[in-house]
Amino acid sequence: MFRIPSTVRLLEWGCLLVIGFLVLYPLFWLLLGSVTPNPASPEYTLDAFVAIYNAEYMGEVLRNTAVMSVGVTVLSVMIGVPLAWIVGRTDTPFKDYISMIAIIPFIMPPIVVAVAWSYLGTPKVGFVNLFWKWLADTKEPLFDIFTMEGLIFVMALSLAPYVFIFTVTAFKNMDPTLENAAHISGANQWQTTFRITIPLAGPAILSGALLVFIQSLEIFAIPATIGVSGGIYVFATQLWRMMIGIPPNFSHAAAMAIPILIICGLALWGQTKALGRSAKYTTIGGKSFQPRLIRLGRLKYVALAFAGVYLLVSAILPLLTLIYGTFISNRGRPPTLEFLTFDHLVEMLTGDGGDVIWRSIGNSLFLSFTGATIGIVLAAIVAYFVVRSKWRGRATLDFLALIPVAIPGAVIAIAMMWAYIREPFNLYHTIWIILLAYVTRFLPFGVKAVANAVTQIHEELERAAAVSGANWFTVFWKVLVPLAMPGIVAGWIILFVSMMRELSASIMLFSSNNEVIGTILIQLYDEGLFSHVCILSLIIVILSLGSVALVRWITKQKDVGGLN
Amino acid sequence: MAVNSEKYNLEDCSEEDIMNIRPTKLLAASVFAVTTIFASQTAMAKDANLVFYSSLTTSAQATLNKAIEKQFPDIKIETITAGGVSLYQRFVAERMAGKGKIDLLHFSYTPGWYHLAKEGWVKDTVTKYPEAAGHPDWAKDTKAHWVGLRAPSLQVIYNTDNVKPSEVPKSFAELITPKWKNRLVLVDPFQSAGLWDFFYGSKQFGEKYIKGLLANGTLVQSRMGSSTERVATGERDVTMVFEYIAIRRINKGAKIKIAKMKEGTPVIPASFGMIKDGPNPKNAEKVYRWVISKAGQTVITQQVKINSARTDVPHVEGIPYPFTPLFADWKKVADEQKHYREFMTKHIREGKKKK
Repeated sequence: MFRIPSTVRLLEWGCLLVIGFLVLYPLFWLLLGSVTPNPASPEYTLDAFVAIYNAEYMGEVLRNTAVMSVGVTVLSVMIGVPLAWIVGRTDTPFKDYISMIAIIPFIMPPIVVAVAWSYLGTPKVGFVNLFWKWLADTKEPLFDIFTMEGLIFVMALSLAPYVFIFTVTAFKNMDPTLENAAHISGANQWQTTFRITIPLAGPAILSGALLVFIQSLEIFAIPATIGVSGGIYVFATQLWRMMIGIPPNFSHAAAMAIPILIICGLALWGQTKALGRSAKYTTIGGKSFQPRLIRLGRLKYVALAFAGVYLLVSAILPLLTLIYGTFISNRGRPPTLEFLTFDHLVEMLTGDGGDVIWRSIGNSLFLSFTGATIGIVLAAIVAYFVVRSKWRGRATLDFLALIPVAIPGAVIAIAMMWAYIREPFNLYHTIWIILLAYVTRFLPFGVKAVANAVTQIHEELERAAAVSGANWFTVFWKVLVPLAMPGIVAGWIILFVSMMRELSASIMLFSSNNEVIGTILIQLYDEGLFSHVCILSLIIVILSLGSVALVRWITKQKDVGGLN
Repeated sequence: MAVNSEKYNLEDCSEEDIMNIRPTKLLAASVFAVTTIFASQTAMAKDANLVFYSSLTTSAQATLNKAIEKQFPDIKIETITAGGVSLYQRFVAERMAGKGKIDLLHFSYTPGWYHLAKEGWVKDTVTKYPEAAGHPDWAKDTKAHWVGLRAPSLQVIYNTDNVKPSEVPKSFAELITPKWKNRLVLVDPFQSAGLWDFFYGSKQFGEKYIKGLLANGTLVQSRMGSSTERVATGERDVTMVFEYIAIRRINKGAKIKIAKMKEGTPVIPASFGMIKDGPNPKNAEKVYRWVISKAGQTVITQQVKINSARTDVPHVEGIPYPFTPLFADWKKVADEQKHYREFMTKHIREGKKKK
């Protein structure tokens, strides 16, 4: 067995300390906030917990949340896994384009997806329903977006890329040895796919599904826009409702976040237990391989149609809505030349608020580049220790690094503010508090992405390097990092894109000169400037896709987790 | 040779390949990008000597800041803009952490000001400034210690394609009748408080009217901008929004018009106060007094394009004028928060069930 030198043990402890501080320090303030109306005062009470669980309609909220989260997770897996399989393992045409467009819904902030579908799916004049009425010559709409089904649909469109991104890497990195063995044993293509290929991608699928489940509990913008319009209240909107009031009930919000934390903690623990660290998912060994593409024959057109429909509803229609909103003189008018204009663009970028918008773009790029880089370095180290180390503290490290994903953004923002507004840190009103919040909040995404990649790499490669005289650091840097590079770059991109579109924490932590795109986006939305919201959303998409292309060019990664 | 996702064989790697420093290149490129961007963003920072939290729109606040800095060239303003409720929550969270040392505060979540006054966070002399004399009594509060920076009015707007001239709404009372069943769209009380706060605090309307609105098949949207969109696109026929949102859409050619209500026009004075222990008290007082003065309020109506409570300044073009202002008891809204929120929680759900 490859022995980790003792200096590495120090690194493990150092890593645990850094992650422990990043996560536990704000968590301490969150827990404190749940038992005291004012964390600065010495009065402690459990009133917030009592108020929350005695709140009227809590049963309805829990029921709605369960239906929505399970529905969103199932639908996301039903979309993400086949799409990843199509891109990763089949000879379906236009895979590069599918792969590129598939991440657009992930790049778009949830509030934008919700706004776009508010135009597309309203029963009377929604674009999709208008088209349906014309096509079917009927007055009945195809669907109403302001329903539970609509809510699940929009949430799944927004979250399915998590499953896709994680799973496509696993499919592409898969050693075909086991599949070949299955074929030799007489299994047909479909038996092999369902009994070998998909189970081998199990950890990645489960990771993606778990993130979708947790995110569906946490995302506020879509339930607040689509759900509330349909009279559907879920945990995230209830949390907001509990928080507002005179004075604001921050302790209620903090108390309400605790059960989410416990549920998500249990889910993460369950995942670890279910998967263990078995070598059965290791698919990158010391031998060369070329993943075999499955020839679908005529079925490739069915696969193409499946991908096409998903891309149409998840990316193309919302993007067209944004373009329509950018260039139409007034929404509600047809997109004919008569009503097209550049006025919104000129007004937004050169008007009185133009300086703030340009500054927010610069700040977001700075924070996302820096945050993603710091985050992925931390995540790579954490993921390595979690997957490879035999150290007892690795389970704690694993759990600590994943906790932030389980805390709703609005709550983590308050916890971050309370944590870093005071001595000895006093980072409030600086850009650094936002950076810290971003790294803390999105660290779990990076850890998951890299851990999936490391899980697939057999230890024999590191052992071979060690036998050849390489020390631990050389093995890590020269062997493991290059091998895990697709996962690392995919993780970096997930972090970068998540930070570019972040809203919940930024809105509480931004300050003058430190505005970010997310805070401006929500302000423009609040102000009813939808044309400006559309423009800024397109800017986010363009910048994010440009950054992905840049990273791809720098790393010479032909493919990074499906993110072409 | 680059190690890629399709080939992971150490035996095939030469020494040169092993020494491939792609991760280093990635890190170096990131550091370069970060440094460049940070250098450019820090260059934009400036030394401010007035800290102003405001719920004006981004561009409106930028316009106001320019006017203030033109009036007082020695003043540099640091601003944070956000929605009224968000700004209130943010300020309170800062105060609870022992910070929130700002100079001027403006947000239209008027009931929240009773909390700020009770905590002793706002200066209690602002209503006594001579410049405040031009504001009518409903646009200043000697107990909550604010003077209205603006007085946005709530306007009823309708879609001109869906609503025939003969059926244009003429009163608030008729909006709860079957004529408007399933034709209204209004804002979510838990995301945008002003409209519902007004009806709850108004003696003329109150709980009965709110129940009537919610039971009339009203579609709820997250923000007033969204309600306006639903009417402008024809999904619903009528909504109530602040006048600056309506006028902006009308000026752009939206198929909407403002309906004149016979009861009058609800006005929501947007509170403006000075923070007691602000870092720049002299600058704060200078700017505060100017903003509420006739000159400052003229800037609000003519440049920022939002209604003022003062009657001695030119009004905003596009608002039906003059109008009979309708007021609410904001203290009642503040004092009865628990009941109010429970009431809204109940009836917003029941209204949906009756749909």
